[in-house]
Amino acid sequence: MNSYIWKLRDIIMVSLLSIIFAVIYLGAVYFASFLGSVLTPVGLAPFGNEIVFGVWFMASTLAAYVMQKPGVAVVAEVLAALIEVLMGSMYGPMVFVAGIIQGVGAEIPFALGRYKKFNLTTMCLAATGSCIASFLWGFVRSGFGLLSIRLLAVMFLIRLMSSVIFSGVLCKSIGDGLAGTGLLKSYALGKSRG
Amino acid sequence: MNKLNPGYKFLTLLIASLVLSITYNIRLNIVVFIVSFAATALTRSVNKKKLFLVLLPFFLTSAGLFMSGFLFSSADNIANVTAAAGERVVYVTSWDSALKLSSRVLAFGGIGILFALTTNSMDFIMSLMQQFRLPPKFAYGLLAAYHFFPVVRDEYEIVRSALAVRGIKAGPLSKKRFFPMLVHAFERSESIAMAMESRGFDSDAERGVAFSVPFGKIDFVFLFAVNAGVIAGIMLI
Repeated sequence: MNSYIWKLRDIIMVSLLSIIFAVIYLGAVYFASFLGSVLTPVGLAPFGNEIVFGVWFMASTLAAYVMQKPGVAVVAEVLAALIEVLMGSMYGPMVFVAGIIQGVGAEIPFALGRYKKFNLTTMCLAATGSCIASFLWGFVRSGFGLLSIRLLAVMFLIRLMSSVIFSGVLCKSIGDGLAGTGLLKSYALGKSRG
Repeated sequence: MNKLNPGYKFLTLLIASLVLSITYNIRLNIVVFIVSFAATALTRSVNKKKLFLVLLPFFLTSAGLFMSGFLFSSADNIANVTAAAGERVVYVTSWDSALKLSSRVLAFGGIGILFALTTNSMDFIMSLMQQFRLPPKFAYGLLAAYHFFPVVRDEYEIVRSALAVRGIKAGPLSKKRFFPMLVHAFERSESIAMAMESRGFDSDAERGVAFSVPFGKIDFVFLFAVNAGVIAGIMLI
């Protein structure tokens, strides 16, 4: 089960999932900028981004949960980022770098569990991993160093909550729902349900 | 712009973005945005309406960052800003920072639009396979999924109609619509894979390509010229 080999079926499944999430990611970009501009008059524009941030890790945790193989989280996130760039994200090719970093962030907790443990805790840890990785990247990419520490702390907390809710809890329930349909018989998640 | 090799164009713009991310040069960021915008608008194949639509959200974001700075700077005495204006104060530490952040959004956005609107997805993925050693299994798998996406989207609409017939209202993000879409996507991926394999798709076999993505000196020139330009910009502007 813990094989590095990707079957064509796996690739197409992860690709389709990534494309669906790329559309959602792009929608989230628009929504975040809308939310940001609503919050602008009170000077809270950056929080618009933080509230939806967890949505941007969903492809990696969901794909990893379904396939339970090494590398899935990274590949899914990178593909989703690549497609998002192609569709015209306002963050440009940097989304691709962010995709790699967030994917690796999600991958680490799964790797620490040796790809054997896939429960709510590891899902939430994976979401937290992405959250931390993306936040560190924010210092390079978005100049977080220019912001005050108090603001950064609040931003981090909001992002963490968003990550755990969307990419941890929500993705697990989506995965469980899919497994419940019996469609995932050929994937690790379906097998574990017997 | 659309004559360049898509893979190298991506690499070029990615490096340019990374180089830009080490600097907070406001004027350079604005120059980068204007140049990218001009290059996009001057490319004949670009849909001008789409260009405008894509531009809209990041003008909003950029304006959002800018406005926060503006509100902050309108406070007369920076040292004496109290908790009443507190949330604003913690946002950016100065007017200058606000400009730096908002000009950065513009620069990255300009580069992103330049790439997205002048690049054909199929050419890009083929280029990744032909010039950047993306395994064919991934390239064609991704393409198959990419071209199948409209079907998934249509099914998403069908589910909406089916629910509407039964008098159930479901918003665009409702679980009642989203979940069946995922289920369909999983079913599709199984059958696409089976269809490809039954027609003899084999990733490891020696393969020729029907669509060869051109790649030449011009791509290297572009790679070096753009990045030399950005580095020169950092030093000179």
